[in-house]
Amino acid sequence: MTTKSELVNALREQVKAFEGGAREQKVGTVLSVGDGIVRISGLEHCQASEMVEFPGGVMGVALNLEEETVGAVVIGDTSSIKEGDQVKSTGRILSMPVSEAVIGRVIDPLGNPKDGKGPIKSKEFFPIEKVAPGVMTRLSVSVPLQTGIKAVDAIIPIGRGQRELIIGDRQTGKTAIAIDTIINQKGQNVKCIYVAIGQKESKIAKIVAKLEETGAMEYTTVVVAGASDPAALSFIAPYSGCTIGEYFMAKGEDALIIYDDLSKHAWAYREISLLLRRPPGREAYPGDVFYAHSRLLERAARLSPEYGGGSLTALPIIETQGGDVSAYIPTNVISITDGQIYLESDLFYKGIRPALNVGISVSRVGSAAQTKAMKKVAGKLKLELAQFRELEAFAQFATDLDEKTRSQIERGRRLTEVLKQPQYKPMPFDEQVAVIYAVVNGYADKVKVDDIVAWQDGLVAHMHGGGASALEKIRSTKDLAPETEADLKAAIEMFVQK
Amino acid sequence: MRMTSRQLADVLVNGALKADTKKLGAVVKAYVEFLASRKELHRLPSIEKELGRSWSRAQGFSKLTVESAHPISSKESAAIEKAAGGADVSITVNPGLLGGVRIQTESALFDASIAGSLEQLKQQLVSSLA
Repeated sequence: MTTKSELVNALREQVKAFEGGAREQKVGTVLSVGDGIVRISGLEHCQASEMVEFPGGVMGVALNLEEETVGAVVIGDTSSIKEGDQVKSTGRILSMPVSEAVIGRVIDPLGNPKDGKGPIKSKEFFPIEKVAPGVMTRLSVSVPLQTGIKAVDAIIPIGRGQRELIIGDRQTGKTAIAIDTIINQKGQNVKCIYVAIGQKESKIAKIVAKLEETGAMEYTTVVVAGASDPAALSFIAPYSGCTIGEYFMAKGEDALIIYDDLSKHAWAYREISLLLRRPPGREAYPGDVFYAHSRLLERAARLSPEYGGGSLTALPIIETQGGDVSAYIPTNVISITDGQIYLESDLFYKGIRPALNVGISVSRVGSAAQTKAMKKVAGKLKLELAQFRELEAFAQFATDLDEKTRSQIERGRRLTEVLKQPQYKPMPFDEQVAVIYAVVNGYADKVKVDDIVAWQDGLVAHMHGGGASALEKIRSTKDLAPETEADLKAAIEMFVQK
Repeated sequence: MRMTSRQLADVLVNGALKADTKKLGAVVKAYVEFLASRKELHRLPSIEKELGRSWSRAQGFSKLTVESAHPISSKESAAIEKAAGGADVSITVNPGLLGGVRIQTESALFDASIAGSLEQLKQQLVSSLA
């Protein structure tokens, strides 16, 4: 226990170490305040994106450096700032504290806790804006990041260090894919960061509760800029989330970051830019909105072993209006990312969930980010699905079709059915391989389409019982060698006969 | 050639700084005549607004506020006036400083007061706790 004299001594030491005396500080004066934007005169030698301090400890970021004035956005409450107030420059570029302590916490974009679990102790400060890793420091993507979603892992594989866009209308299950992916990272040594940009607080609360319930908060940080927070916070939120991800990447770990969503980020940036009187461009977005997103997504990378070998995988989300992927922001982000997962409301209402359009969803990294086992079964799956899509239009004339076409359509229906998956139920990759293998090889052809879900559950249960050795081999070798395949085949045949 | 209010203000400030105090009237007269010849007398209000900034550019600052905890002597205030290089000087007494002085221009603050040191100490103690 601390004694009183120890306390006094500690205090004395602190006071003794204090070096007082005159000091010079760069200051400016508030000329005007409004809509979260402050114009400041003075503040000579202010740097771009330097933090400035208003009376009462309210912080701002200098964004526009002009000849006589500085335009700054206030991060926080503007109501206490008056015309004529003194503004101090801090000499610090916008930065945030980073440490292991942020894991499991809900924080705001400046690193302050929002979950009431006490202060977050961190000694290191990382700048929020950072130049992305260069060519020499990078390695091509080759290690898979399992999402636990059959359709994604089989058809649009995501690798560690990749940037895969999740795009779709509202209410098509974009966030659901992201959250399932986080839940599936349990035990995979991947630190997750979920950045909520301009989201409803109720939605964020629901997500945090779900992550806690599934045990995913143990390796997840949630960065929140809510719908009621100023646009400046929404604007910096993805960059600060990325900073946390980079901290883990620099330590040689793997990290996954979800930006939910970048459409709202673009809105926030548009708002700030228009208020700062920057010239508006297409759809009133500022000219550098592309750069705002490209510099953010470029920070996702897989580093080469000389640089620690860490990785940061980014899953940005974009909300489209009426399925229009050719709008300004969606096309921008599509061109920056390494592929997109396209969700459609039509499919969603048809009951195909996740409502993934496998035809136009792509992963530019492709099968490089797949385990050998998955590669072997997924190749056939893609082909079967493509054939099914071509023939689907004829499905209603089923009676007039030849046997081969009919069987292809029937197989396609079962494949579509097996790719459906309920929310919060990610599937381990070995089970995925077994199930997809069974369906593409025709073991489910005799099962009624409506019974596929139950059939699949039965198969998985059986694989854990009688077929456990085959599953174990797939899991350990990550390959489908001929003897493993024979084991798997035997186990499935045993199940089918039952 | 049209000149901006800022450029016109710079002309006046530079002219005035080069001339000595006795000839100031002549400089201003010449300046007004110059404006009149350009038919730009109506711009005098906007030029006046720019004068402070012009003065700052030429001399470093145009306004100097000195706060002290105790009243300062006339000798000291004369020295301050001289050091200010023609800027507007205001000297006030602020017992809240406890001791020492605080000097402020448009873009800088020199704090050599006890209150400022105490604030610094407080910040250091708080940051050592975090």
